[in-house]
Amino acid sequence: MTPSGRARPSIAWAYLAPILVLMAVFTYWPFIHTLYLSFVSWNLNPGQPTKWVGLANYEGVAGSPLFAAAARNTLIYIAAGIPLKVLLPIPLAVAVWSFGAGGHVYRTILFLPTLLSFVVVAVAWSWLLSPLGGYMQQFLGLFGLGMPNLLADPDWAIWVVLGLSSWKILGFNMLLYLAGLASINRHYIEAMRLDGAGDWAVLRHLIWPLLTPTTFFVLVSTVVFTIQQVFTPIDVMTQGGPSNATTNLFYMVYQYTFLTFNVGYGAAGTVLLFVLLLFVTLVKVGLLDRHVQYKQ
Amino acid sequence: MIRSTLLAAAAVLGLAGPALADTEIVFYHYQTGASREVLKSIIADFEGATPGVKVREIFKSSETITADVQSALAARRPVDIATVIGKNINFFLTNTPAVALNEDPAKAPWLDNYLPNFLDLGRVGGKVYAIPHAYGTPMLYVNKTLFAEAGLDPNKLPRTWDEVIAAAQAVTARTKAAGVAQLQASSKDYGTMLMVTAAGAEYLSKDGTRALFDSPKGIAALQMWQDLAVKYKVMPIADDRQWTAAFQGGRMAMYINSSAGLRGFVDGSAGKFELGVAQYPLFGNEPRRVPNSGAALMLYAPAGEKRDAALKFLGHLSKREVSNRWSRETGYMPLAKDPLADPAMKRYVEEFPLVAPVIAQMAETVPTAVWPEKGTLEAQNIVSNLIDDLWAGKAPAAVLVPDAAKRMNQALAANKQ
Amino acid sequence: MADIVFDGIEKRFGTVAAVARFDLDIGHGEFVVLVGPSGCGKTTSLRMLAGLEQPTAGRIRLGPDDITDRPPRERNIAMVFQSYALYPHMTVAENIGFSLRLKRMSKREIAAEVAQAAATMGIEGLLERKPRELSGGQRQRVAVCRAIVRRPQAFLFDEPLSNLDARLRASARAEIRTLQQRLGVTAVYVTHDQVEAMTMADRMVVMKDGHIQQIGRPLDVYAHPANAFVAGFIGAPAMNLLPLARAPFAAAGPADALVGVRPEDIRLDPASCIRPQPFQARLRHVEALGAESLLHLDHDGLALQMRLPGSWQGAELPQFFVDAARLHLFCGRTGARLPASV
Repeated sequence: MTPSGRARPSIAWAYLAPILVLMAVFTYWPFIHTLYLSFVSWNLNPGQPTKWVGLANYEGVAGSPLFAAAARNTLIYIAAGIPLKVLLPIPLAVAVWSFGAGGHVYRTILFLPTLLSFVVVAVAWSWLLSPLGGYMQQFLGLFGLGMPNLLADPDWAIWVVLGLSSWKILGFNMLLYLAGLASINRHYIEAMRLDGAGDWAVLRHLIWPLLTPTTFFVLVSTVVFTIQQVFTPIDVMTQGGPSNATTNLFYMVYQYTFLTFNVGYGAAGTVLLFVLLLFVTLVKVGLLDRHVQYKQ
Repeated sequence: MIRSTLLAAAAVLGLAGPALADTEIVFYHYQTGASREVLKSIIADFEGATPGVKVREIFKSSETITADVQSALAARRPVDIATVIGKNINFFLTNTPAVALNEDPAKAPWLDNYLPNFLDLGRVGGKVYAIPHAYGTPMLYVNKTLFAEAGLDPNKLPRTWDEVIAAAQAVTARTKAAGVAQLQASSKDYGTMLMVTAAGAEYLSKDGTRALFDSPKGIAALQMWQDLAVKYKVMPIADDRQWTAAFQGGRMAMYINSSAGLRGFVDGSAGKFELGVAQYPLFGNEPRRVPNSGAALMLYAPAGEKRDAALKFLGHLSKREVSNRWSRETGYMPLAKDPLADPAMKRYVEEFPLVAPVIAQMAETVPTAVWPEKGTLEAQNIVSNLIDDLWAGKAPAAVLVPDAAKRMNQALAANKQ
Repeated sequence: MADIVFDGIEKRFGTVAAVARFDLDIGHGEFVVLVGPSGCGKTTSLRMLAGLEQPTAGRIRLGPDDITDRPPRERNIAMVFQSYALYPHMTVAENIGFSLRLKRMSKREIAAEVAQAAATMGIEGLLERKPRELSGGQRQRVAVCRAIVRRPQAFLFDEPLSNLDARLRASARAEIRTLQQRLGVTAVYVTHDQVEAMTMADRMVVMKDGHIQQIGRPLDVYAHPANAFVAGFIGAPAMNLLPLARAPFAAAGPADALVGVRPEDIRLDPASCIRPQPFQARLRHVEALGAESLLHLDHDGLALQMRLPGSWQGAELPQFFVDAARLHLFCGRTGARLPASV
């Protein structure tokens, strides 16, 4: 300790070193390397040298017919995901929380989808929705109703993917909100009740404002996470179709890099996706951060 | 004391010697289930006949094997023989260090066992880089029980597309089953190629840089496919997995799939319905031309012991008896010249008549189209969207196909630089 | 008619009674203090009055109405919590005006009410601050302000001063009492501090283990504690409670009785006693507090405390006297007060 009581800096760095090394190797280095790869032409073959092409990859990707659909769908995934994945878990969490100990059962049930493998979920749902004797079709047939072929319909397919993605993450985000709710001192609620607040007023004036740190976190993290999470249902159920209705930038990067080995395009797509997500996040921070009630 | 220890050590090393000197060749494939067992058995026979060589077979699913072999090569993990899906052969030729099989012709006399048209796929100049391994040809599988239920003669299997459509309509009118569907594969690339090639049109130019199916015959073929879904409503819009399940479950009367699926359909239909197999339906007066599906084998082993061992293994696979056995026990198309000259094969056909149409279709097989290096993802995406749009009934083929071909040519034009 | 009535109120958790039979009539404008050690049931009783807990038996009346089944928002009662429970995301002004906002008063009216209440509590300068920017004393005032702006039928206080330092407590105590008297609103106040109870209450309710021990005016309870517990709890330093058999002074009572004498009733001057009784004790220790001194005495192992005004100068062993008229007798078994018979 220095005379003023502060720990010497060198020991602090020693404690930080392991995690800094891990982050440098597995997070920052790949990022920088991807940035480099976005400016070269390469086919993932170590025997083939990389060739500097400047911005040609970006032009190629941005001008590709895939890109327009992928970019548009990415925005839809983000925008539609907000009410379904960020807001919908809140009333669920409040309901489970208000049950007290009896809510544990519902908490478990709602969390189970998060634990399932998404591949399993996607395959199971493609059977449920199959127009050739799937369970939904048989069930509706009992009432004499037909089952539309949702996954083959360009207008509906993306909503099936969104629905599955939301269903899957619902329980996880609900748990995050439950943690946020648990940190609310019950005396605040009691004081508000004495002030004359009914359930809706308590939700609106106390619970919602005090949950804003959690809500903000869920908003930022869910958007970034689910753009990658929907890869599985897209790959299993629709391969980006029908008519590019379900593809997104992340899937497009996969297709370029691993199906056609166009690493340059894939890296350029990755950088573009990164910039998009960064922009979206900064917008959120700029617009919303001052409304978040960080407590002391 | 020391002397006896040294002697013992020498003895142990001597015994271990051959084991230490074993050459191991790594073989990537996508065979599953019964087919994989057959492969292992063939490997065991080879290892028994070839002391000092071991074959390590590595399974990767057909959806990922292309990427996995690429990754292994990129990471410099050992890859000696790789299974390469037909349409990607061109790409692998250009972008991976494939070894010519006839680099030293003396080491590969067995190349003559194959029909020359089968070797064309991997031929560049005088060098051959790929031999056929797991080829399939598209067959028309029929649920004869449903035929009977629909009032059709179960022993009169449709020969032409007109007969297929008529039968399908009868089935959908009189039973609850669907009519017909065809294998599409990823990006609907193979399915589209099959549709237009069988109708007498060309799919892509030889160098793969131009789409050619906006010809009148191509448009007519694709219009028929739109009609199946939209006008006649005999083809349910789904994917390969669901169609296969529907056919296996007795809910679809006809399904066009690779001959490689023959064993699977035989087993799946046992006890449920009577299975029939016919050749791919004819388009009007056009002669039958069907591109094969499936994969070839390519060589990557480094020069020296490994390459010699790999060539020996490929030679073993190319022996007529082995190749025919492979075909019999998996359902893959026979690849050796004149298969029926092999008595075992002749007996097989007599006992298993369903395979006769497959053999008859061998000579009508044409090489699958190859894609170039650049613009393939965009172009295949255009094909997939074209079929989606056709089946959704957005516009007739005469409108959608030329537009799609034009856009494909734009995407593929990058290869001309 | 009484303003608040607890009629046979009980709160049981399974077989455990947090509050056993609680009967209390509180008059209009009265300041009643519930006092007792932790776990005695005082806070639970208060919360039942607020509607934050449901009694397992009994009824509660506020004015003419039976409010037992009403939710807290319909009771017209304001409460100051121990932690003040100021809404952390609102400013002081918003905190105070919140209940008015729920009543849908206009912004202008709310601002006027808030300004007036803030002036009463002397916190006009704090209105735009957030709770986390306030000191403990400021928060306590805001909490009280929030209560008074509602003009409720009753104020409830749940140990509102326990988070303040001793000096602030003394001034806050006086402020609250003065305010309540000025507003004339009935108040129920919970504390574990008997000083607060003694100084603020019109009447106090001493509780232990869920049972009411005694209800009465502070000085009455002080002078005539109903049992040994109350005797020892009220008054600081506590009453000296000794087994009669071993006490240095005599009193008429059963051999197993407890005799109690308050520290200020041990004298050095027999003339100040009505019926002086001398006794011997050793002086062990003197605590000089300036205005008075506390003498710690010892008799045969029994400890006694004595209170003396001014400073203690004497060095030698003096003679101590108790006033026999001021002795308290309690049953050794039940602790109940025994009538003096001397």
